[in-house]
Amino acid sequence: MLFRNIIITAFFTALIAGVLLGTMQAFSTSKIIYAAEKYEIEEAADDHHAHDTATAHHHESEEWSPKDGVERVGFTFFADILIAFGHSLLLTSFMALIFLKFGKPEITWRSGLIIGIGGYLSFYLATIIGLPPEVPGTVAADLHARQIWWTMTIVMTIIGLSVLYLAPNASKLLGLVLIVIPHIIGAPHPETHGFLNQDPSAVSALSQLEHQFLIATAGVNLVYWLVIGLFSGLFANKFLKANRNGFALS
Amino acid sequence: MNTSTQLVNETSLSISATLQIIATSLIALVVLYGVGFNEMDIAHNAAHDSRHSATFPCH
Repeated sequence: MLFRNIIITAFFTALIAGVLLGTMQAFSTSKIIYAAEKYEIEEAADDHHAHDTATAHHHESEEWSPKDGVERVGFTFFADILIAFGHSLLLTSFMALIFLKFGKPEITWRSGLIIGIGGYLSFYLATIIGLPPEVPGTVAADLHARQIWWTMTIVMTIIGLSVLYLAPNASKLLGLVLIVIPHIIGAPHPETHGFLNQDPSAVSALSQLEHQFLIATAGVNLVYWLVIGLFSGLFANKFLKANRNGFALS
Repeated sequence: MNTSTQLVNETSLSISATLQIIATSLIALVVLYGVGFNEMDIAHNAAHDSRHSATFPCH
């Protein structure tokens, strides 16, 4: 059954890509996040004006949060595996759908790798053009507005890339238009870019961390998407049993 | 006769395959929404570092 085979493909891919993502994060992006969070805490100790903000933040996360250390890293791994499952499920479904409707590309690790690059372009590159990766403590625009722009950008980039790949030459321009539209609309931005902690030394440190975070996320997400694509293609080739007429029933 | 039966079978098979792909895509969206966008404190705090690294809009 196709449904089950796509789920199995995503499940195995998620175990590999999710664990790899969690490991890469532990050595790069998570360290930067922890470093940035230190400025949230010092804020409370050093500055009375900032105390309210710090208390409010504490109150916000009063419900429950994983303890720093093994527990926090463990939950990050768990979340990573879930994200990888979602991404692989989407990528494998996409690959199966265009194979079914257009008869191309063949379902192999090579196709998976190329669609993985498409995933990196859609989920990472297209979105960070408007919404650069943020360390904790960055001043940002309204969350819902950003979520809407972020989702719209991904959807339109995926459709745009698909049009570039699948549509006849005369219509390929439409694909480029779709990819560019979200950036013409523009992402929601706060009135001024900056950090909640306005102490000059904190701003300087956080600016550096922000720069490091951009480079770290670019690398981590690239490797992650290549692995998602590669293994989704590899397992889909094994489990989906594609043939000229579509997919085998069993 | 034989050919037409085969055609009908293939058509119904391909519709069902499409529906199955739509179903797996929907599950993917629900999972990604849950990990990336769910605003409950528990979900936010557990997935916090993953959200930042995967550049989901956060906070």
